[in-house]
Parts: sequence; structure tokens; C-alpha cells
Amino acid sequence: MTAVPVAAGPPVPTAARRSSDSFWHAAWYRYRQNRLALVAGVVAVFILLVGILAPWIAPHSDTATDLSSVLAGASWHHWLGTDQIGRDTLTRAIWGDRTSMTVAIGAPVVGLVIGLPLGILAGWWGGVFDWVTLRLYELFQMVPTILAALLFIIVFGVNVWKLALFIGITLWVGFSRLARAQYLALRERDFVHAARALGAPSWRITLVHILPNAVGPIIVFFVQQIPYVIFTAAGFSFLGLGIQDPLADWGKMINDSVTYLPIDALLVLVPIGCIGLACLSFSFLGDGLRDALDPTSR
Amino acid sequence: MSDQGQGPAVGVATKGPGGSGTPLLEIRDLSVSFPLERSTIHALQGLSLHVRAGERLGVVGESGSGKSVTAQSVMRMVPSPGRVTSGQILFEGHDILGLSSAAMHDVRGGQIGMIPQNPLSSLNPVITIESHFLEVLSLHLGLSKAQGRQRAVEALRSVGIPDPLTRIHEYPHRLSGGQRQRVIIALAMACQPRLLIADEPTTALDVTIQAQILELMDDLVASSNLGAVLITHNLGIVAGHCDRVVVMYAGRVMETATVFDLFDRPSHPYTVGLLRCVPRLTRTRSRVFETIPGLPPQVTTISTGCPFAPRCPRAADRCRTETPPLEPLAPAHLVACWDPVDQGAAVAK
Amino acid sequence: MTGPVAQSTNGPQAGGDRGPLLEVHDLVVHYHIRGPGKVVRSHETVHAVDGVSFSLGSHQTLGLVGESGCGKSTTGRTVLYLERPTSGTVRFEGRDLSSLRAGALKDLRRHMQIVFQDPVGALNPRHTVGQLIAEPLVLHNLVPRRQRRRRVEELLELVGLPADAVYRFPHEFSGGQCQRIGIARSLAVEPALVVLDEPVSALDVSVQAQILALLTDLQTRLGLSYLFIAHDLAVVGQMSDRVAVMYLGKIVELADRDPLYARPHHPYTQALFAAIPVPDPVASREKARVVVAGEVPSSLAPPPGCRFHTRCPLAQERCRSEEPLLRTVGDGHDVACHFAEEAVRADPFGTLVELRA
Repeated sequence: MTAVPVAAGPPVPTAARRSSDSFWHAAWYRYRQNRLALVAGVVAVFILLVGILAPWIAPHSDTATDLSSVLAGASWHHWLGTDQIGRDTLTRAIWGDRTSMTVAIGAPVVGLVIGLPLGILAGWWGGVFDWVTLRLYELFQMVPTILAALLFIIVFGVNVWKLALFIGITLWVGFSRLARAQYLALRERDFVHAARALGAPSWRITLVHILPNAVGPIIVFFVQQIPYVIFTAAGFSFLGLGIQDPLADWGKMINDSVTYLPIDALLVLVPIGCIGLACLSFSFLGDGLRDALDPTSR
Repeated sequence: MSDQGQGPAVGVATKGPGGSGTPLLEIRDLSVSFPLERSTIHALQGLSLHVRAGERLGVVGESGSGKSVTAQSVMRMVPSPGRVTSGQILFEGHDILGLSSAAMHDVRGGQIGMIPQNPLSSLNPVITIESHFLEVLSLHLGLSKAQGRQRAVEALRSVGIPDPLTRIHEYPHRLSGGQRQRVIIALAMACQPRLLIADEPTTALDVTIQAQILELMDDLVASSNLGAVLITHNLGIVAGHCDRVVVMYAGRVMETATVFDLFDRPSHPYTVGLLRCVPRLTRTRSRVFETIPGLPPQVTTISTGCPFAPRCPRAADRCRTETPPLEPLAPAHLVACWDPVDQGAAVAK
Repeated sequence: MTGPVAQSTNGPQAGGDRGPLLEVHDLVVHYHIRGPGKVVRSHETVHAVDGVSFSLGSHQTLGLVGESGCGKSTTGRTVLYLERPTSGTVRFEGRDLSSLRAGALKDLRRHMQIVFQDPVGALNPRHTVGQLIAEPLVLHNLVPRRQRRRRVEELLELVGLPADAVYRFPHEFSGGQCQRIGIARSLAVEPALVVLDEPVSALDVSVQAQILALLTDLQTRLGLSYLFIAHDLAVVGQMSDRVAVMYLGKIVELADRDPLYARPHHPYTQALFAAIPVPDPVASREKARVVVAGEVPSSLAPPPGCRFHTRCPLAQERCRSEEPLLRTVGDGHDVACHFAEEAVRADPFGTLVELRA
């Protein structure tokens, strides 16, 4: 018999190394290659930070009215001018960022919290539970999401958190489907069979083996919902069914200022620009994340 | 290189090793590399080989040997980011690397046919078999639909697909793996190319189907006097279905000879090791495992010295510092080794 | 050959006084798939495994060989109860697996393990090698936490990998190294039986030889039994004490390794031998080799009678209507063919003359 052959593998350093080439490392490396995604990421983070730090960085109080300078254009005192009752536009934009981001992040979180467990359980338990879940998908698909959210608003009233909740509820199906599909696909992989053969119980397989591998597409999906939520929330506010006074919100700003368009275009352009920038940056961020986390899906 | 192609001993019936004169395909000193994010893979380093009309050349190697890249280079289908960094590929005397895209389209399929590795994914699942043929035939031969259909039926018949008139209207998923590979062979042969390149054509198939396909390919090559390049890792296939052999390792040629010489008098330590490792059907169970220690290399640096040196039982200092050139040991038998195995004094297994 | 291998009959005495390590009786695995049809769904049945019986003693290797669709992989997985059989019994160490509750089955999993064909796919890409190999230790609480690292390093050494592989990820290793990791993982529980499902098919020839040498060495050192599943007769021939040839869900021939390779009786076995390309240019041109015609029928509708009759040059009326059962033609040599003796005499594929010593 021959002795156990030693495999001469790739050169290995003698010092102990921690996760040198983990999934996240490799993903970050790939992400860095994508200039657009990097820029988008920076902008997105910036937008989030503005929202978080709003109370400290806004130059004026968002409710203070200065009736002496109404519909003023840009000036040193008011960098982006004032609105029809003298509120500083920049301040309103910053506070609007805060409300928009709260909804934009909060809604997908709601969708994730409802959808992910349901999807995983549907895949895991299968049988009747899965059948019911699939019928639920179909049921909710029949309902136009925007109208559903509007209905909630009419019935339950609205504030920032409710808005996030109602829009979030309409997102659960997407998360659930994705989670279920990921679960079913990953369950058939050889390394899951191997874990079962080793005697791992189902809950451990789900938590330790399947979920970590499903995380990538779920993160991407999460980020991809953000532009949709921003736009939808802004739309609601524009229609007057979203955020109410005295809170600032980009959509509401557009609504409020559209009548003054001939006089002060800046008043309309600022919120539109904010919405556009936010949507685009999160959209490209989502694309960049998809390419980084799941390069095979390209 | 004016090698005369040595034939087998008298009395053993074979398919002839092929003609003489200018080679159909000649690769001279070809180097191909893949610049990646953090390193560069030097897939081919100074590869040279040739094939004549009527001759079957076997290209043998393991992973990382560069055998597939060789096939891709001839077809100028090296996947990005790979690129040819030096060398020439002459097809019937003309440098393929210098051809325009349009001219190359003509060559592909029309003059050089390729049989790719995986029959399951090489056919478009949403178009019928017939459409596959019509596309190729109209592109290269300008045939009308009716003529094309005729040719397609004949082609299917020639590769042994039963009931071709009905089969032609079917979609690829209705055919078995073996049948799909036959269709692919028929497609490659449809425009009567002069050179056929088969990249591991039977790896994905069962062994009984593999035998059928190899027999089919032998018949086709013999009857059309094609030149054929058969790329495989299976030494058994090479022994039974090739006239000459090139053994590749780490992007270079280690040894090339007629198939009889290679198996009878392997001279490169890698070839010797490989032949010893191959599991054989023996009457009694042999409990001895011959191995080549270590792993096939990741060719990320252009090495000085022989690429096989780390694993070679005969390696000397010279082997690690100087790259041995491919030199003739005997007529038509070239080896790239400073200390080739002397078969006269070879110790039996 | 000495030792347990000498007990070559099919019966239960191979391998020890408690009976054989593994006993499979009449194993049937059918899958129901939904056929086309919107309102009234037709059901079709895939006959993956259709009545397979064999036994395996300790320190023995049984080779299970056949082409795609023959059911060998399904058999391997079912033996471990990774899939439940449709019918039939699997007895491991004398205990009927179907009668065990989930907890008892999990405990028993310690004693029987599996190594997969795709070495890279069998490893969770997000776990380090250390985590991968330690998992069975954690699951079965075999080793206290403090000693786990040491045990993982022991296992790595056993399969010939460097100790600092523990920090690295599967994608940093080659196919052969990943297979070693998979083997190390399955050995962590100190099993008695290891099912090897095409363990070297995806590997280069030179690496293949290393892994086979490793497996053989481990078998001797650790007293393992192997169920070695492969499509390559040459590889199976190097590793097995006994060999079972499968075709379309059934065992068509079952014998000790040497008698089978010296004189295969079943026409399909002969066809398999004939189809294997021999690495010898003179020999492969000399013999009048006959290639078997046709393709494997679909397992949705296996042919009646003998399943090989559609491709068998010796097929007769009886073969089309009456299914042959396994019958003994020699010492421990069983064949499922009505005309096995005829097959040896006629040698329709030119197999029997060419096998070299």
C-alpha cells in the first residue's frame, strides 16, 4: 500500500490567518471595481446621514416661518430660498429627507419581517402550509398595492410610521417569494444533503446552512425596493394622502409649490431633485450590490 | 518539422496515420494569457503542434493544461479576458489570427468544425433541430430552405439518428444525451469542413454511448479525409482513436509522438506517471496505486524551469531553473525534458 | 485474498457474527412525477430502483457500477435513509432503519456517512474548512469544545491537508483537496460504513489516483466498509472486493471482483467492458470490439421482461416476456439472465478474450 499522499496545495503562509477570503471580502472587492456603484453608495450613505443628522444640520427650524421673505430665491441666508410661508427650503428638504428615509427603509423592513419567515416556513414545511402560502401570494397579487395602501391610510389615518407600515405590508409578497425560492433552491444543494447525512436537524440546516447563503439576494432585493417606496410615498404626499403638515416631505413640497412654479421654480426643483437623486442612487446601489453579491446572476 | 508519421507494425490493421505535405493546421509558439483581477493566468506558453489531413491528433492533459484553450484559440473563441499574446496559427498556410472578423466567421463552421464539450447545453432549446441546420447551411453554403432540409435529413441519417424525417422537427430536449451529441457532430460536419476539433466530446456521456460516438467520429473522419483534433483527458480514448498524440501540462507541450510510440516508449516523466496512474481493467485486482504526488499547477507565473519539476521524481537543479525545449528524441518523437526516461533501461511497473 | 473477503456469498454470514454490516433487501425507490394535463393530472412513475438486494460486511468494499439512470446513486442515498425507499428493508448493524424514530436515526448517522461526487458543491461555500469539518463533532457532541480544534487538525492530517486549512474557504482549494475535506468531514464521526458516490469522477487522473490511494489506506487504518458507487469499471475494479452491476434499477450481475472481471456473464456487463477504451493502442486495434447499439430506455417505462432485451444481441422471445431473476452461476456469482451461459460461450461483444492480466 502506498503511504497517505500529501497534497501539495497552494502555498500556505505559516502564520494563522483569519477569514482572508470570505464571501464578504470577495463581495466588497467586486463592489469596489464598479465605479458607478461606489459613487451611488457614497451618495446613498450621504442621503441617509442627512436624514439621521437632520435635527443638527438643518440651518433653520423647519417650522419657523419668516413672512418677511416669502418665495425668495436663493440667498446667503436661505441657500435654496423659502416657500410660500417663509420656511427655509433647504431645511424643509433636509427634514423631508428624514421622513422619506424613514419610510424608505422602514417599509422594506416591514415587508422583510412579514415575508421572510413566511417564505422560509413555506419552503421548509411544505405541504398544506406551502399551498396556503402560494394561494396567499396569488390573493395579494390581485390587489393593486397602491390602492391597498391608500385604503389603509383612509381607514387608519397616516403618519410617518403608519405610512411605512402600510406600504411595507404591500411588499411582503416579494420578500416571501424570494425567500421561498432561495430556500427551495438551496435545499437541493449537495452541501445541504451532506449536512443531513451528518445528522443535522432541519432547524439547524435552515439557520446555519441555508440562510447565510440566501442573504445575498435578499439584501439586493431589499435595496431595490427603496426607490419604489420613495417614489410611492412621495406620490401619496403629492396627492395629499401622505405626510401632513407641519412635517416636511418631498412629495408634499412638490404639491405645495407647484402652483408657484412660474414665480419660484427652485421650490419645485429642489424636492424633485432630491427624489430623483435618492431613487437613482439607491437603484444603482442595488445594481452594484447584485453584481457584487451574486455575480452569477448577471 | 518534417515528420513522416510512423505507422504501426505490419499485420495490424489500422486506420492510416494520414498524409504528408503541408499540415492542415499548424500552431507555432502560441501563448495565451488571461489577465484577471489579482493575477494573470498563462494558459498557453509557447505551444506548437500540427495536424495533417486524414490524421487524428490527440491532445491530452489534465485541468489547467491548456488543452481547451488551444481549441478555443484555433476558433478564435477564447473567452474574455483571454488573449493571444504571441505566436501563429496557420490553417492551410494562412494565419488565422490575422483574419478579419468576417473572414473568421466563414472559417468557423465552414472550414473548421468544432464539437464542444457539453451536448446538453450546446443546442438552443427553443429552436428545432431543423432550424439549427438551416442556420448553419444558409450561412456557409447559401442553401435554400428546401435544400437545407434535405441536407439536414441526410446529415442526421449519416450520424445514425433513426427516423430523421420526424426527428428534424423536434426540440433538443426531446433527444437523449447521445442523440444530441450526434446532432452536434452532424452540425459540425454539415458544411464539410476540412478540420474537426472535438473538445472532450464524450465526457458527459455514458461509456456505452461514448463508444458509439467515438466509432461514429472515426468513420466520419476516415470517409472524408478530415484532419481531426481530439481533446481529452482520457488516455484510453487517445489510444484507440488517435494517430498522434500531444501531451500538455501547464500550458506547454511535454511530449509528442505517434500513439504507438507514446504508449510503448513514453519518455517524459509526466507521461510515464500519467500512464501509471490510469486505472486499468485487469483480470485480478491490483492493490497498488501509482500516483503523481502534488497538484496540477495554477499557472499564474511564467515559470522558469520545467513546470513539472515540483512533482517530478527525477527533477534536478537544472530542471528548476532552465525550461527544457521540445526536442526530438527519435524521428517524430519530441520531448521537453532534460532527463527523459530511457525506455531501454526502464524498470517495469 | 484472505479475511472477510473470502466469505463471498450473498448470505448474511459475511463480516462477523452479528451478521453483515449492511443488508439491503428488495429495495424499491419510485418517484411519482406529475405528467402533463391541466385538469386531470396523469401520474408517471420513475422506477429509479426496482428491487435491489445485497449485503456488505465489515472491512469490505462493494462496488456498485452502472451508467446514468441505473439507480446506483439513488441506492446509495437510500441506504443511508437520506431518501425513504418506496418499499424494501435496509438493515444496518442488524437494525431495520424504517423502524427507527428520528432521534435514533440521527444517532445512527454517526455510523454511516457519504462522500459526494461534486467535491466543491458538497461544502457550504460560506463556512471555513474548520467549521465544515467540525460540524459533525458539534452535531453529535463527540468532542468537548476545547478539543475540537485539535481533532479537526488530526483529521486534516489524516487526509493529507495542512493544518492551517482551517481558516480557509472551499473555493480556495482544488477539486481534489475539496474531496479530501469532504472525506475528513465524513470521518469525523468515525463511521463504520462510508457510501462513496462517484468520489473521483470529477477529478483529474493523477488526483484521482491519490484519492483512491487515500481511501484504501483509510479503509485499512480505520476498518471502514465502503459502498463504492461509480460508472468506471476500471476504478471500481481497483477498489472493490465484490461488484454489483446495475441496469435500469436492477442488479444484473453480482460477484466477487476477480471472477466478475475474468468472466462476466451478463451481456450488459460484457457490453460495459467492451465499451471501455483501453489505454493500449495495439490492443485496442487488435480486438474485434463490438459496440452495443441503442440507448438506455427511460426509467418511466422500463421494457417488459428483461430490461436489457432491447439492446441485447442474444435476446429471445423469453427475454421479452419473462423477467430473469438473479441466479447463481458460480461461487458467489449471481446473474440475472436467462442465457448467461450462452453469453459466456458466444461472447457477443468480444469481451472475454481481451482482459489483460
